[in-house]
Amino acid sequence: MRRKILFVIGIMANIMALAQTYTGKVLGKEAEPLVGATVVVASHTNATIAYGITNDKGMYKLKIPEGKDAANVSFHFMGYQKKTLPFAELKDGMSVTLSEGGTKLREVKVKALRIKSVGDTLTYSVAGFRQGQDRSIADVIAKMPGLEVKENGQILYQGTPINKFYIEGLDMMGSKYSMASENLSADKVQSVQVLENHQPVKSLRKVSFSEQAALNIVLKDDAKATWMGALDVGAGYDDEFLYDCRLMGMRFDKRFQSLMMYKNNDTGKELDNEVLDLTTLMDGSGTEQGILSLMHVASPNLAEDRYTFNHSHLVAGNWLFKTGKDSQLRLQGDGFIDKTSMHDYYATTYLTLAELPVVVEEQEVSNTRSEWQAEAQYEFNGESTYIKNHLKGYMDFNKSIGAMLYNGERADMMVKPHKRSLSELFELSHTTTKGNVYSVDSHWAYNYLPGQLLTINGMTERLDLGFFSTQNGFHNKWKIGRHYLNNDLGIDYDHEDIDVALGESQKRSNAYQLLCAYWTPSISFQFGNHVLVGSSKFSYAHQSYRESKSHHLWIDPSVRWNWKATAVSQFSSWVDYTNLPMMGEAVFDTPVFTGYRTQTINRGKTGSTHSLRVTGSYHYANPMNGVFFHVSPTYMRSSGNILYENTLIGNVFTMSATDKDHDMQSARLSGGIGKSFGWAKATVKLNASHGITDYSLLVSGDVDDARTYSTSTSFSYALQPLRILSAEGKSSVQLMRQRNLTHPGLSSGSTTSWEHSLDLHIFPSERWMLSVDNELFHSSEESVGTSYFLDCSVNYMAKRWELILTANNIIGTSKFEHRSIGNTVMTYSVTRLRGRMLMLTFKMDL
Amino acid sequence: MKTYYKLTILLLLCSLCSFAQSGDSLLCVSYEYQQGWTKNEMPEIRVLQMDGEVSRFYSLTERKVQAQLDSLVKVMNGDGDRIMGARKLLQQGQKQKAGSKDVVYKHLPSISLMTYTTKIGLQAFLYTDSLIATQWHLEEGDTVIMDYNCAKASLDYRGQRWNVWYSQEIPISDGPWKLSGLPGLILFAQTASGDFSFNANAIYYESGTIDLPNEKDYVRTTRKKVNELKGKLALDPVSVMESLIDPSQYKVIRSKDRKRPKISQDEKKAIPQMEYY
Repeated sequence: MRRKILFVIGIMANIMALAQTYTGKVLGKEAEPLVGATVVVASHTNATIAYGITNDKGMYKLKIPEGKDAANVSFHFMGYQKKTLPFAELKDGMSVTLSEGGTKLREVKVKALRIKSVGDTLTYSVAGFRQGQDRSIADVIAKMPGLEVKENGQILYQGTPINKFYIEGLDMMGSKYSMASENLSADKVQSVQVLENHQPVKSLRKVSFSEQAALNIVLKDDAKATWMGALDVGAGYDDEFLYDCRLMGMRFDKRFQSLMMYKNNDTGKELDNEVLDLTTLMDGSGTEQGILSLMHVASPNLAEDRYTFNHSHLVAGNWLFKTGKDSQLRLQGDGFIDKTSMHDYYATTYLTLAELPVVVEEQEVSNTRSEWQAEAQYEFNGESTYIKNHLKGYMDFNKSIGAMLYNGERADMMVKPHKRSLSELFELSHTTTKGNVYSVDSHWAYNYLPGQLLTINGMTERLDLGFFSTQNGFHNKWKIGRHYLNNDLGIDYDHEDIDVALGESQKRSNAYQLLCAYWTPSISFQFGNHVLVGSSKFSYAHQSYRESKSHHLWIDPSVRWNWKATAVSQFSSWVDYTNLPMMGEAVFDTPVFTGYRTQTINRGKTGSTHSLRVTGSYHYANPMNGVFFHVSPTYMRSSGNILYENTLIGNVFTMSATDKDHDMQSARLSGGIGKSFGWAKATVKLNASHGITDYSLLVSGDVDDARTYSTSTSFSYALQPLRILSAEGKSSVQLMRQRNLTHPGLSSGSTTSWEHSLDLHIFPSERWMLSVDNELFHSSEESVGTSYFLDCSVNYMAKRWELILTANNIIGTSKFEHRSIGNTVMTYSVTRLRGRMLMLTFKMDL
Repeated sequence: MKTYYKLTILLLLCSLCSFAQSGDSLLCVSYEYQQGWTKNEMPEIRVLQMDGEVSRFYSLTERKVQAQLDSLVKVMNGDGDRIMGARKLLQQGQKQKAGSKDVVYKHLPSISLMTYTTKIGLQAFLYTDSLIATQWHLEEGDTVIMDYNCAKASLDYRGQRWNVWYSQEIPISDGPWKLSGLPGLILFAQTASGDFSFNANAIYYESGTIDLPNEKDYVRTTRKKVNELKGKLALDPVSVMESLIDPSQYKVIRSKDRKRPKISQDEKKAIPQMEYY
């Protein structure tokens, strides 16, 4: 019997512990029951944890779940004043009287739902932003407030690059999404969704916070589950016959997606941007740029088709197979063949040499590129388990051949910066039912870069680099209430071989190795809408290069805070201190020509740099009024940077590492605001950034302190005020200033460059479009002239095809002058431009 | 039951509407209703009218289409073929199909019940149903819909999982279709499958009273029967229409030229329902 009583008591105690129940009444002024009144119990963070609704007798019932911190209880009824009590004052059986006088609801009428917001998903209507001249979905995305499309195709949301580009919820494109965004017709797309704070791994949602957003392209019904194709054939003439063609086929099913394409042109459009790995571009991981590179035009701020003389071919294929409910296989392959000739002139002033010598160069070089890459990725993205295996390979046969006039003297040019690489990434993670996470990941990459370079002295440098790198980690997250205790354990290893031979001399081989083992405990707190993560990386690093060996014990602390202040705004900030070992390229002491007349000699000693970074950001995104705003201040200080001594002996410019280090610090404030209006599909965007960098220079043996200032502002707008007229334009200004604080006489002064563009499109009927595009460039420098470009086109659009007659650079501007200031050099460049061009293009949907 | 409705109307007339101000006695919320498989059509507008006691959820689009049809009937002197032709052209011009004939009256005939009316073919049906009694699962997350702060909740309801956003700033436990039972008005609702969604696009007051159904105009039935009929209607509309026609009043004339469109087994399975039982 006693056992039974104990059992009953035990059960009762459990029930009591599970949930507390309160009942009560809500009454009006005359003690009449209020029917349908709501009673809400909220936590300290104002999250609803329990609620009740009064019945026909005004009675409510509240069940408070176990473990919830009830802070207050509020009583609401339409037309009555809300009453809030501390939860401690709530008694079972209590009657609460509300007094009349609630305010009338705000009447709201959404005029045009160009942007809708539900939870973390923003849906932009393509019809709401598209103007008559827009062809690809990237053209429309560029007009959406909060979103930005960079010239290389990268898409940013509120100033931060997106982490995924989905088409109908599937990630076929991986990090080469600009092929889809630049080629998918806006006609096929219903809407563009932004998934804010997107965590692509399902089992880590609500566990691991992401500050990046993803983009999802929602197709129109007629673009789904059907093969679609497009054929463009363009022919024209400037000084020679021109071509610009495209053939593409694509299909987007629920279980299969494909996008295949062949493109060619000799009209200056660079096609390699479409197969650019945009994620690697962001984090810089997994690629080795090597030491040698192809020759390039001193990058003017012009659209590349103004100055590029190319013959390009691109073939690419992307396939995605859904192998199960949560699993998929993705295959990608592409090849790029190009021959580009360059003819430009530049004068370089060296700010690190006391006499400020000027070197004048004129290049007549032809780049030949043949680049092939392929990747395969299997992914299982289940509710509790995630598996990914990603294999990637790359090879090229690139070379630059031509001639250079160096201070009036002719020198032959040849560089072959070949590269082959293979890498694999494996990730496995499991989230238990209790919310604990266990994961392992392993990444290895081998890069082989056999290169050749003809130097100004007429000798050929043979430079072979072999880099092997592997990173392996084990991670776990233990859930403690709403908080997580994390441990990251890992071991990384790098082996870098460099073989150099100049002319007939013997090959000199050097090897650099780095072994790094680390443990990073961290704790993440989640309270209300705040997430606070504190971590500290304890690492042991061993570097070796010939006799130079060093051991390091490092502690890298970091704190991150994110606060979703309201449904439309969030703050975040982080502080971290990082110790970074110098890699082989900054250690090798064998003299290496990095360009035909530039040589680098390092210390031959291992070392490290240390940096402190403090960043904050504030985002505001309100689709109701169409306002998107972001601002981000950043401060960075790094120490241990090598000071190089520069010498110009004969024609060879040599950078030799000294034993001196210098500190560098920079501060930057950047931000942007975008607004869409309910009138004329109008959108305006304003972006600005201002930065100051303090650093040191070694000028003829003396350490000088120097500072650069850089400011840029751009304002862009797009509107279609009438059915027959649309306009879009942009004005931007860039200010650069460099000052030598120790010897002001060695300062390079300042330069201000302006750019303006205005494109007008007239639609006399539904089928016709006349376009006039204007571009104007001018500068504060008197020596740099003003450049103006005028392009016109006439389009005739039928339902399935389009005919375009284009006349580019009608004024016939033939050269572009530009002056830029860097930390150690100042350049003035004159770039040869493409002349007048006439082109007829036929585009057809297949 | 008739007395019940009369009583309710009386009560309504007598009661002081809690949010009646300056003559506008009905609080209205309009929603864009979309079906995942027909999202390129113009969204249908459905309106929730609330007078403080009873609420009525109906299709404004259907009311407009019906008004157009009525005026066409007048203009075209009842010439059936011309009327249907003109109506088809109108609908194509507006990319708009006819709206739903379903109307949901919550808290009618009593506070915990709802009344559902619909029209299938020429037959009008009515049944009573209970309001959602189970507690919603409160989810983390907040958003702003039409300037109102909203919180998230979800519920498994008759074979569909609904994810909704509701605003405690509008303390009325109501929402689109049959959805209610949260401490605030539901401003957005979507099934997890994405097949059905309601997205509020306006809140306004209007004068007047809620039109309540007159039971003598309807055939009283059950939810199960209506859902069965709707399921069949999606698969074989002609047979369902024929079965509902009283042969003593109407004669069925089958067109020889038109073949019945065949619906494959896969398509039959693919037609989703808002509630399955």
